[in-house]
Amino acid sequence: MPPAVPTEFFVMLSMILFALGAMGVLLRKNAILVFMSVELMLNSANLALAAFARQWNEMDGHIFVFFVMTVAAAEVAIGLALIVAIFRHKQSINIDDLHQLEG
Amino acid sequence: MSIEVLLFIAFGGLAIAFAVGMILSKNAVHSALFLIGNFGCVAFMFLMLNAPFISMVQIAVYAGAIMVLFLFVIMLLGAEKTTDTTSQRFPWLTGVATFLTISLLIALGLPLLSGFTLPAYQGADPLVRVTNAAVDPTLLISPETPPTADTSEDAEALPEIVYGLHLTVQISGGTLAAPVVFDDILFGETTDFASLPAGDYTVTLLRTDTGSPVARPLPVTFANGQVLTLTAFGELDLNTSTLVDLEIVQNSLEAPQNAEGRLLLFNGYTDPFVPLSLVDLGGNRALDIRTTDGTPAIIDPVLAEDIRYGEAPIVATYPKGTYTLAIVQPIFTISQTESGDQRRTISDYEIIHELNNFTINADEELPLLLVKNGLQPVTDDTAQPGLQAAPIFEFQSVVLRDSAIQTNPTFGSPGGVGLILFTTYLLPVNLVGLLLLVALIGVIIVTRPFGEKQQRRGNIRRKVSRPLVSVINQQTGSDVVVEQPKLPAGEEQK
Repeated sequence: MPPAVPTEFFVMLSMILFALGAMGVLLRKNAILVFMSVELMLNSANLALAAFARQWNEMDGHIFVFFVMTVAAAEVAIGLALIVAIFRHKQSINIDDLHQLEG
Repeated sequence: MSIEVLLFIAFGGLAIAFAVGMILSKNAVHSALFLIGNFGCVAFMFLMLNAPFISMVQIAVYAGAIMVLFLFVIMLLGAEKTTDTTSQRFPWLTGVATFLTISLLIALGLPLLSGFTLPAYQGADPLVRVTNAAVDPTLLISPETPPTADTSEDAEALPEIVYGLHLTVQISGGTLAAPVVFDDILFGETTDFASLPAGDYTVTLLRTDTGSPVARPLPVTFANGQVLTLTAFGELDLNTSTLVDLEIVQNSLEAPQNAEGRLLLFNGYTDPFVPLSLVDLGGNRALDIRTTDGTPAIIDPVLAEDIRYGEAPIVATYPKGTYTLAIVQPIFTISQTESGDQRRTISDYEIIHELNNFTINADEELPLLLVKNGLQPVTDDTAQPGLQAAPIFEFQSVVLRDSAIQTNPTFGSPGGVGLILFTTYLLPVNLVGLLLLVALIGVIIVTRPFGEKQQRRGNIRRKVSRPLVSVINQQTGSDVVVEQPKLPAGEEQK
């Protein structure tokens, strides 16, 4: 029995969310918002993984979603710590102010 | 349009709207809240994709923990106001970013929009195994070693005598270079599964001792995703020396719901006219029958009824546990109707086989084959006193407990994901745990105050003690420059 909502629909939604996330990374200058956009992109990739897991009836896709979430959690912890450290140093988290690779 | 598609469009549109709101919002806190909404919509999508575990993790970890961390940092830094959508340094970036995003979307979406559809899932290669439940009646009629009947002993204590055939099963055809052979299968034995490519095959049943075929070659078709048990059953026909039948029992790896076990009941009992039932006898271990208007009915819970000889197995699900089950057959009385036809009515039920301490496990499929085999002495009540009571043998019914199939826990459930996570993916799970530990240590190191500041803290203590020293110096007339104590730059901010 084919599923009620085809896998293609989920893949399309995932692509739109990914593109919006990429747009956010390019457009926003606030480091925290750039981070949030990266999270959006990771999440849309998770959606595609879960959709393909259903398509092939293999739970391995769910395992990968789980790993992506774990890695995202680690990445957010480190990233926000870096933002806090940069803010202490520069009094700004605008990424345009961080164009010079100096301490 | 089905309700699922409508829900998908509603929540998908909401997810996109939340994502756009996140990108365009001027307030970072609003952006974070929009993102939480987006994660909630995606969690709903996971539910639609049969991934309840991932959905719950999404809400707990993403929308919960990670977004709280984001909000906490935004509040901590006081960075709510982000009027930074247009860059002063790169004013052309907005247009370029939009162009790049649309190009990415077109590049990704073009295959799907131009009518490309994903190939449907074909399933894994078919798995095939063989169960031997075939009886050789020539051995039953003239056993080489007749069973010694001892009427003084309980009939149950007699050793079970097996007269089944030893079978060799060949599966040839398809894309196989050489036939797959299951060699010398004893009566009641079930082989391991063999994985074959999908295709058309021919199954040949041979006697192991003589090598002669005992059934006509049977053409079969194995399709992807099938799990099959080829069940050879029936008596060897004395005239043609061929078996009655080969039944293909289709198993399923899908788990039954609600901690139930699944039974596949197959009737290979050589009486084609008597449909059998499987009854849970309950605590009193006896068949309870209520007769109303001359029609008897079984009061005990019936797991499956109308199991007919040689027909496709009846599937029964029953809660896990240990039961006393019984195979029950009806006793018919034949009466003449007014028009002269014979009419069969059920007058009573009798137990033909009892299964004591029968365990039904959850997440398991247990094929049960009911066949006749062996002999059982019957005490001859008609024997006259003084004469030696000659034992009469009759068929003994046996239930072959086909080796159970461990079914997969439900797709996407915590049990299912956890099973893979801690078996196949145990090493990656440990590595990810290590990664989290390293991230934890990294956070502590990154947010640690710099070494210079700690030195300055040492200075503060000296500076505080200085005024007293300078007072003494002043009174003793020495020309020491008096310094006002001041806090380091970083400390003044607070």
